[in-house]
Amino acid sequence: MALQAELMVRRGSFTLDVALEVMAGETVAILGPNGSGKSTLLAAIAGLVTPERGVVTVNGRTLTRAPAHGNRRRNVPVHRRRISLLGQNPLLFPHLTVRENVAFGPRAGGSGTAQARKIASGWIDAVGLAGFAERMPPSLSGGQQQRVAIARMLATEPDVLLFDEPLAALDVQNASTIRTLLRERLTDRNRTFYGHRPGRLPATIVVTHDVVDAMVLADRVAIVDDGEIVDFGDADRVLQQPSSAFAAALVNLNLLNGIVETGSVVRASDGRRFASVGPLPRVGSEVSIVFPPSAVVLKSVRSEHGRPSSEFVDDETPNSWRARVATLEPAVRGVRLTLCDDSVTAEAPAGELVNDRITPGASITAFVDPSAVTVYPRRTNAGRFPREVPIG
Amino acid sequence: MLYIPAAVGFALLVLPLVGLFARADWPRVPAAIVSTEALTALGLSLQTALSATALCLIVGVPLALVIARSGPRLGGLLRALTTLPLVMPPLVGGIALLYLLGRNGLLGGFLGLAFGIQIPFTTAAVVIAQAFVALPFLVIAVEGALRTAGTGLETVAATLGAGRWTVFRRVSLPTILPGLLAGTVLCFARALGEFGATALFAGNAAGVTRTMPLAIYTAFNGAGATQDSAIALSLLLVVVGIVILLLLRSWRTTPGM
Repeated sequence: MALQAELMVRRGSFTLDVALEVMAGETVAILGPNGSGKSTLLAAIAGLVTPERGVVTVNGRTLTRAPAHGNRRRNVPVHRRRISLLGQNPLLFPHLTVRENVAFGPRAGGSGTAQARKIASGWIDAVGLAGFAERMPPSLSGGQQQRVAIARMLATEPDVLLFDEPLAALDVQNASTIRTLLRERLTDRNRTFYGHRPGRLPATIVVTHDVVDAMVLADRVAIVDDGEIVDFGDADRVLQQPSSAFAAALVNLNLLNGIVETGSVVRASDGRRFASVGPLPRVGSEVSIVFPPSAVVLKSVRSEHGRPSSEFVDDETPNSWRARVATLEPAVRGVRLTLCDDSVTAEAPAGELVNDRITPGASITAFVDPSAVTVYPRRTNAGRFPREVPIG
Repeated sequence: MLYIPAAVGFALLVLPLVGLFARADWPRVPAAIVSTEALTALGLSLQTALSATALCLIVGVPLALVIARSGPRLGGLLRALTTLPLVMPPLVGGIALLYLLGRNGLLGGFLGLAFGIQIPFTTAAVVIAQAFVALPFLVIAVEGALRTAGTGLETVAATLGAGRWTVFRRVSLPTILPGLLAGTVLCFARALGEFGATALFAGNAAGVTRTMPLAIYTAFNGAGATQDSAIALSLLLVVVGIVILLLLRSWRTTPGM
């Protein structure tokens, strides 16, 4: 493991308490709602915030050791950690040219002026800014400035790269090109264009609230909520089989917890029953049940001439239930509907809703297509890292 | 509507100087300027003002750093106390200095007894009086520049591997340089023009404490014939002031600064 961090940081009433390991050459995305402690985690790893207790080791070198771990407190200063941090603001040195900005790290690291300038040129080319080396930062666009900032942090060849919402301040197009650039740079195992420290790949953490960042950049994903890692694992598993409400919302899935009732039916904790076409875990085991909002079909319940609607549903019928519509809001494809006293959301083309007179307050019957329901064993703390991180 | 009060204000600032230039007895100005007394006063003024500026830089930049990095309450208190000499009549400052460092003053008595040091009415007293009134200008300018710059760039420099001294030399100092230069120039100009505190605390001894402003005052209050040399000396100070402003301007507009 290149980076091991086990940290407890208190800030007022907020407590961050996490354990995390990132391998050399690996990128871990940390997803979580605002205020969940993502940035605090990065600041503590970088040494900008002193944890109440915990350890940070990089390639076996202990950078932080707070009291609870042994007698000797250790806190390597920020500039000796070989950890680079980039936020959404490029924070280029305004009085230095692009080349001098990128050469700043190598020079601080002891390279001679000529050598540092050579390293800088390589990195400026690598982020697609050849020809901009002598420009002053204020004359560059926001996207170009962020490219310079990326080149500047990579030029120091740190052991750990920390990104804190690196694309959040950019427009969609810039964000997408720079995301691709980051992917190229983070997955370039050869580092052919400079390679004066071959074989030492950095451990990378990308904090983001954008699921696309996680999909494009990350090998593994951690979901942080309220100061804790609530899910951790391979990117595709964490995102395709979410275990937390936050992760489910990120990938636009309805998530319910339940248990397997029979070989083909699961019962959610609120009593709703779902059939799934896929194989189910063994009867009685705890499971997560997910289905996309677009798989939820709503039919309005109208009594015609005092008789109930022909589509009668009782609570025991799997994949369907009765509810009242709470709100309607625009979604990417049509309209998103929320239901009263229900976490499940539905999505439908606007035309269908108008046709069926589905408005807030309407009584409806909801059906979920069994082929759209995915059931998998519920991950509670199993997805988290072991709490015992070896102390180096 | 805007132009009338603006013109009055501008006239208020500029017309007195026009009056000074008009009243000058130009043929006799060169002789008055190169007179021994004038040159002695000018030399003493430059020497003390430069010393006071150096003193202000040595203690003022760290003070500005402390204020800028303090929390809002402590920072606000320190800032208010620092700017006090700015809003206080210099004469009051002179009296205050006398009661601190004078023969019977709070510290002065001890200094005299323990080390035999007498500060009042020496050239050192001039420098102290000038530093007292000029320091706020430097601190305010530097502190403002520091607060505008924030600590973001310094943090980035540290994560790029730069130690404290490198961060200060290559990031903090260049970032605040315009503010530092402006503050230094204002500080020097204020020290050069200092009169009230100097007169009370350092006195008016030719060659020892009689700086340009005191020389002008002495000349002006002497017999009518010497008013001309007061005017000539005043012109000299005005010219020094203009030169400072021009220097500052050219410095700040140099590309890359």
